Amino acid sequence: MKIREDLVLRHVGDDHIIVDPGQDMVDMSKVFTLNDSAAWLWEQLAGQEFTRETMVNLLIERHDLPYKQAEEDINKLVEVLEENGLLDKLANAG
Amino acid sequence: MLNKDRITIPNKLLFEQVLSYIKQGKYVTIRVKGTSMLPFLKEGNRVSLKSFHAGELTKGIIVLANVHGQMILHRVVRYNNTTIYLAGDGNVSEHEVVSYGDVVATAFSVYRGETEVKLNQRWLRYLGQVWYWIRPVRRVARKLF
Repeated sequence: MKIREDLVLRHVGDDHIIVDPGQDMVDMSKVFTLNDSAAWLWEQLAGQEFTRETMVNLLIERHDLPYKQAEEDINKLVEVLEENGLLDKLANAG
Repeated sequence: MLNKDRITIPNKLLFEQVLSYIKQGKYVTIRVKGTSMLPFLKEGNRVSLKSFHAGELTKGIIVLANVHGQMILHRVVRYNNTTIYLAGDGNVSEHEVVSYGDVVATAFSVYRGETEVKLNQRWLRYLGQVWYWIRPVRRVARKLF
């Protein structure tokens, strides 16, 4: 899978927000916020194809989590990314 | 990890982002906060903004302006060559006095839920002005009720 390339992750104070800048219309009333881990992951994954496996490994590397828990977290994250249309629909690998 | 709840980004930080997009010539939609523009803009309504041009200045339009470092979305009630006077529809006595350079954007649409209302319609601008003219009445009414 792949993160939509047109989305922008911005760091606003202590928050990490994802903005969908659109062609000439920016909707700041519908921004998504990420926690520190998710924002870090986002930065690692932006611009490339990746799998759930890649995500789980990255998360474990950073947080020293048990595999099972990391996998659960990633599954939840992917679900939310999909639900909100933040993934590139044309890229389907993984 | 990803949160869709509405968060309140500190005003100053949000507006830095808004400003940078407006300067790029983009339209920016933000959510209304506060009650100073009642009854025309309600908390939670979404407002679309575009870059402000002095040539479009007319009484009754709603603009985003930098008032002593704070970004405020209020209505233009009076102006001359150097100064623009703004007032919140919900306020009964306050004004903000700004210069042309302080006005950043014009509000062109408000979304109430899914319904879009274009704000550049003449009758809406007039209605906004009438609402301003009857401030003395509203002041009294506020005391009575």
